[in-house]
Amino acid sequence: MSRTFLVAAVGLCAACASSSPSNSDPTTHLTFADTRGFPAQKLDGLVFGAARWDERHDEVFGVDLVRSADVLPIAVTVRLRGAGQDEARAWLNPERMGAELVLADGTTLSALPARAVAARVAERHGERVEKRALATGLLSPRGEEGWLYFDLAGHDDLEVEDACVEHSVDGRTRRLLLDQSLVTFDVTLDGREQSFCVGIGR
Amino acid sequence: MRHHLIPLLLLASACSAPRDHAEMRVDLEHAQELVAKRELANAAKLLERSLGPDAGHAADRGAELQRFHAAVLLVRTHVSAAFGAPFLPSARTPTGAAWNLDAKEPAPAPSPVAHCVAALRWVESARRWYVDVRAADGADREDLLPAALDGVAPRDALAYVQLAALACHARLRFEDRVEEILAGMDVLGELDRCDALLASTRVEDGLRPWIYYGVFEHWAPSDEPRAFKFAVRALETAAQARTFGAREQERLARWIQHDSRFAFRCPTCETLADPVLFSCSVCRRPTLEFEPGPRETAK
Repeated sequence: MSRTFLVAAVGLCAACASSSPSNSDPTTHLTFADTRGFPAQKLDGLVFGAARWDERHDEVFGVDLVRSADVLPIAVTVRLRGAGQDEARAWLNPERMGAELVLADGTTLSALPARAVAARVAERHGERVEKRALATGLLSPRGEEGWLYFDLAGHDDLEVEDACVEHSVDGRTRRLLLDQSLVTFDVTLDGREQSFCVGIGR
Repeated sequence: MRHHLIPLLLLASACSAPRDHAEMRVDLEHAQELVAKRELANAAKLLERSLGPDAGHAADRGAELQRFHAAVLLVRTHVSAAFGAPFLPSARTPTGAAWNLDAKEPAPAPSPVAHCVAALRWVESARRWYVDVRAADGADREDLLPAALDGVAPRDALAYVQLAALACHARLRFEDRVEEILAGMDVLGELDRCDALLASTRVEDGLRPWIYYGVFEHWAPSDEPRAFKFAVRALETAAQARTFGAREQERLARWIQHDSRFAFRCPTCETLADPVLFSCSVCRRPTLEFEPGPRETAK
């Protein structure tokens, strides 16, 4: 049985047919970009978004939310930018926008309402958590940074160390960098819901 | 491979370290079979276990080659899931409401985005490990790789990986990343060469509209007649694969009908291009052969 026939029979696998180099080989003159991670800010149509992890977030909230509340806090900015920004009507509601944090191995964490996070810490810290949460309202060209809180509770297999999440799977540990992870959520723009995703900077 | 053997395989993979070439070859073969049968979760699990915790330190050239192909197969597994049959769960409920703390927990919906992110993680591994396998290109690989892989030049496999990355970034709407990838792939600038590359690298049907769409967005600002061909091909492949985004589909249709400076007409009967038809409604000439003309005359 020829090799070619075997390949066809299995019906699988990358580029099995074109193994012999020739002048017509379409891969001869390719160079390969290094596109590691995701940009931590993005303009998608009229919606501009940015996200960042702050390793000193305990100075913002007065408490380490990872250790004390089982929450991964990410600072997020969403605003309108570009031609038509003043006419467009975009609505953001953190309690309805289905925000998720997608770790580099595809593990997803859901966002928690600020009040639920506040209930996990002392009252004086909880007030800051609610006050600094991403705000509900119409987006404008001058949107302010607010925080989303991603729930680590129930994920005993996850351990956060600075900008890295260690994920234990089947006795092995995956080291997942936050800059290779995504924040995703929905924005309602001119009455239509559209998904938005952005990488996480520092 | 029968279903009941899969747990045994996984167990064997977990227990044997370091793995020798023969064991890894068997795992690659089984993983391929699982991908072919669309048992994608099992394929991903088997491959990750086979790579093991010390995957960054392959023992020799042969192991490097096997490690590279395992990463490529993991890319293929996750993009097959992202653009076809996702299995990684979303944190959202099926209705998109992730916040109703009082509601009973519904079954999580699968997340194509999660698979795109996971695929891109393995894209990086494949790129990193590819450097190490160039020297193994001409080696006798029959003892290292299963039959379906031993005819694959690592460079062709890497081209597949790059196309998968392009599709994922287009799906996630990271246009800058798409541009960076396209900058190194001139071959994608011509539709017939792009078609040939997608065919030779066995790109899955579900990825194709996203790749053509990414190339369309690249050309649309500077070369509209060229962009038109990629727009038509994206819509054609989208109709077959049904993995394309509604927003992107609308963008292409609107561009053909309104936003392009040109009106694209059938050269035989001058019928205008219709984004939902792939051949002339009058004379059946393929839409890809339509020619650009002034928009004004179309009104």
